[in-house]
Amino acid sequence: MANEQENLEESSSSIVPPPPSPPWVELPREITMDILQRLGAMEIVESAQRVCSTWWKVCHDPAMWSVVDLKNEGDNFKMPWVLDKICRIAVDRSQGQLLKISIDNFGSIDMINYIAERSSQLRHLRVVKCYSNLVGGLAAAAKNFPLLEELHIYFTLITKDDIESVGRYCPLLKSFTLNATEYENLIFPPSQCNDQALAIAKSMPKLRHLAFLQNSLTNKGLQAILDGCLLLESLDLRCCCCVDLNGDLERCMQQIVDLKRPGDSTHDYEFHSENQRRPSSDEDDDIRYDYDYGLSLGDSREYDYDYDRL
Amino acid sequence: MASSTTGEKKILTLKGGDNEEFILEESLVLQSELLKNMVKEERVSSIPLPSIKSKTLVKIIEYLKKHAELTPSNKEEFKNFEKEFVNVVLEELLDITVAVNYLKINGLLEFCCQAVADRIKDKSVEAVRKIFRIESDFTPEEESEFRKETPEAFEGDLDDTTN
Repeated sequence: MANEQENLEESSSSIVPPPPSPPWVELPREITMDILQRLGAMEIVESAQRVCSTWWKVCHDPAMWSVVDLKNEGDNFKMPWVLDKICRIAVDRSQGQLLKISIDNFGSIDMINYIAERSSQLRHLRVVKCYSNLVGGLAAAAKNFPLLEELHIYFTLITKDDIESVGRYCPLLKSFTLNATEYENLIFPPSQCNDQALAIAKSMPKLRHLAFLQNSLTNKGLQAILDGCLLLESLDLRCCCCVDLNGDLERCMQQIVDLKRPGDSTHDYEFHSENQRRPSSDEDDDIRYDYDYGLSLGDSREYDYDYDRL
Repeated sequence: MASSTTGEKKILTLKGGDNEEFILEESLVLQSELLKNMVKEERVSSIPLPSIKSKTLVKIIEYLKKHAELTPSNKEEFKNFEKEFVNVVLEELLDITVAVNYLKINGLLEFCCQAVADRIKDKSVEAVRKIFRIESDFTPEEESEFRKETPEAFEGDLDDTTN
């Protein structure tokens, strides 16, 4: 072997055969992991892990499951219970090491609880269109997320009680997004339009980033937030058409480094088209109090929670 | 990063696995964490890289040069270069990925891993085995276990074996 090496050294470059390519399954484990992780939870569970035993082992490593992003969309649309199952498999495999999870277009309170009971390390939770309803579920789950730093809720109904629980049990929370559903202002009576804002002001004093899109808060709610969240650096109030910044603008400008106003464009926003579907404020006035209409707005999903509690 | 020598450009030789030598400016290889440490700590002027094919090294040096020229104004051009860079046969892409991992060129490693992942995406288990020349080492019992875990699993496009 040594002689061979010497010969190689002496010979000119053209004669030496190139070293063989490494067999694919013998790639360094960290590379295999990096590559397979990019396929996403769904494809890992449904196919990649079944290619060979090396991949199978890699796909069961908890380190593969510290970040989980599951989305039900487009060509790959599946029955929600399939996504639900994959999500539970992902949570199981993380063995409590889950740091960041995003669930998009599926989910239930039951599933959020499943995550909560097994993921005390969670730092980042993002929920999009969770059947438009997590009412009460977030309040219960929050107790299990003591390290949560970011919470992003889109088109999923939660209440002031959920917000207060998050504030109470997640003291490290620094970034919160709440993009209301288009039906929310039909469900909450006008007397409660500031409840969510007041709950934030009361329970999240250390918040640095707040995106409060399409919310029905008024200037009263805004003032409470400015009073309660003194560390706030960014505030996104786009599509909050009940806020009139004329009065409070100066104060907002002084306190908030990065301010997006109610009328600002949502073009750069990931759910731009969703927020476009929102009825204009004129239409709002007509249907705002028509709760019966609101509950059957051409959507077959079930709104199966107890309205009296709201 | 501050260097005591100014003006004069330092030259470094990289020696590929088939003994081919590549002479390039030292500043270029600083994008590799591995080489950067070698150059800074040991002050070497020639670095043997016996595990990396010359063909692979040519590609990587090409990338390092392009990346060093990257400015806000030629971003688009660079993106196109990157796309072309990974548009090679799978075996070559894997060679590059392994070498880049060894050399610790972090930005490029991420890009290569994504390129490999893109070749696996949406393919059936069988197709992936074929493309990557992997033999299944599961027992029939194990195979049937998988089907139990995810009976509704999408089996992928069985005919798609493009790589």
